[in-house]
Amino acid sequence: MDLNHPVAEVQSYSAVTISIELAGPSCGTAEYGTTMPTKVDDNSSGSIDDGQAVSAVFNLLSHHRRRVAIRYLATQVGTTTVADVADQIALLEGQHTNDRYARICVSLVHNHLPMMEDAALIEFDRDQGVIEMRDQPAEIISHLELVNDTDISEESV
Amino acid sequence: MTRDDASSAKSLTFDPEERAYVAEFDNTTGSPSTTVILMIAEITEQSETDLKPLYHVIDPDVLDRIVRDRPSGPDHNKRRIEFRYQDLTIRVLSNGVIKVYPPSTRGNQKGLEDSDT
Repeated sequence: MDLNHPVAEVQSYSAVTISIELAGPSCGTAEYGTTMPTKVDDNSSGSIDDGQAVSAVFNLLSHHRRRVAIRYLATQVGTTTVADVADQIALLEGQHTNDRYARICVSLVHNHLPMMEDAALIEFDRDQGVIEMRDQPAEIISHLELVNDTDISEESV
Repeated sequence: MTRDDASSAKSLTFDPEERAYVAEFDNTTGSPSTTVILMIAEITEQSETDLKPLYHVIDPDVLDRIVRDRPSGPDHNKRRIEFRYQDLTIRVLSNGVIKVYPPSTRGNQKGLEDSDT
């Protein structure tokens, strides 16, 4: 599993927030990590003590594109288009070419989004090309806060 | 969402001897899993987004790791994964070569996969 990211650089998240503003008219402007709505009856924010569940979470977070997608979707209210998520990834990978963008869309539709749907993290409407996060995944977000993904231009694609 | 002008699998050729479409995966521009999808979209003349999600057939992370995390040394190209997808047989070698066999050439595996797309 790919866990070679440095930890404890949480403060550098501001770069993610900045990129959100560039994403287009349909994107919200919520600040990352500030006022994420949570369900009243959601008591799942504690530690994950089931071994398989832990592995599933780290498997989910093992690809930088899924980490970017989850972070971004956590800031969104309502549905988000696949194109918006792809824009976020292309922006952070630093190569906004047509070829790269097409491959990002393919990887989202054929890999990352079905996997996130399988994990009950999102609802993914393939026909409409829209995604909605089901609940605010507090424990997944807390794991995400341990890694610094502000520069993913060197990640393998 | 789909950009038709976007990209085709680079250097897609048909090898008449092997009766397979062959492409070499380029790890500077993409991964084996996206290359497989782009190849098949081109071969079957469908939009990439209309193809059945690859995730439901094989874990694309695993497919990508066979090339990315291949062992070093003389055995670096000995790993391979073969699976069926969209009635085609796809073989991904750890040296980055991807081969797609139409059903007529390797159609001896009927019934292994449905074709519900």
